Amino acid sequence: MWSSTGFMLLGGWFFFNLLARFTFLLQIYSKPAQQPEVLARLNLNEMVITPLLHNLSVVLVILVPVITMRSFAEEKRTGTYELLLTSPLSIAEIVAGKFLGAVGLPRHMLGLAGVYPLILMLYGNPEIGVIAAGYLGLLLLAIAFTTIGLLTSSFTENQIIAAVSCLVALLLLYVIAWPAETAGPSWPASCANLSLTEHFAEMVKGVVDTKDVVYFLSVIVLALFLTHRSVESVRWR
Amino acid sequence: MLTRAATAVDILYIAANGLLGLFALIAYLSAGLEQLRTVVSERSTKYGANVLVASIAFLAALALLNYLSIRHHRRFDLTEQGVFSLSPQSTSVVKALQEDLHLQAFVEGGVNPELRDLFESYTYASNKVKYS
Repeated sequence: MWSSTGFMLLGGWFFFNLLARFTFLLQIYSKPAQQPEVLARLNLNEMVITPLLHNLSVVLVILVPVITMRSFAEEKRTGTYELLLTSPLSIAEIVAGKFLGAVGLPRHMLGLAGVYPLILMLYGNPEIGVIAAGYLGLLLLAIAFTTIGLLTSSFTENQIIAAVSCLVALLLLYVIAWPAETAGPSWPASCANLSLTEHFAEMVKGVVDTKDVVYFLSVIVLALFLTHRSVESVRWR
Repeated sequence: MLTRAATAVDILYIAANGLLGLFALIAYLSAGLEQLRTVVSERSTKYGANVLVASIAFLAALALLNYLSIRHHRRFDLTEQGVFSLSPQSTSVVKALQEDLHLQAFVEGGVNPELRDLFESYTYASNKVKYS
């Protein structure tokens, strides 16, 4: 995982953050900021940390499929899958190993992105609780995305198919709450509950709710369970 | 089409498509009956069905767990000013409610996130409060 691809992904992650910050600063220093009432409403948590965490979640949607696409698909393509399956490991151990390996890179990304709150604490007075809740949400989101990526990677031996189907699944989970907002009550409210980002947005606001944590954990457990079944299917197919 | 079949044309459209599809399905099944029999008796079909049933059961269990967790949840407000919590006075008033209270708001543009957050905290404080 820590090949050149890993560093390339990290580069993309920080490049996006720089770009987003640059456009944000442009907005701040252009017209609206010169009005005193806008400056008076300036809130460090609402205007700096919340957009940052939401941007990071969008980047995760794009980067996580690229990280996880190799995990099972490349083993199948190069033929090392048989070696892996005949090694003295149970399927649960194989899936757990792949999961820990794949979740390492997103974890490092989040850890390095923790530099931003540190800088904020040096120069400002942000609310620690809100930041902690937001980062907890981002970590749960990254883990859930990774398990979905592992699942799609275990279905195919083509890395592109694995990455694209993971991206489609993540995008679907991302946008499924939007029609609930625009279509109004005719759209089933449960659709909004299915969206990972709805639960993530609650945590970014600084509210840690048990139902959000339970939803994240059940997505993670379900995806890992299905991955286990998918890997196991080689034995009887 | 997504919401409900409103006019006679819609019902005709659905009926025509449904009948055609059913006919094609019956034609396919009767043509490939022999093949179907061999597929059903294969070992992999049995294991596949097993996995399918296990996955659906697992999914149902998780759905039930989530339903329960939505009904009985606890929230922890980590903001310093407690933006998403009610003041103790409001909480005691809402908790003392004898009958259901229905909050209704008419908002310009249809959606107001701050108002929705406020209503959320009221419904969390007491299950007698509902809003629309």
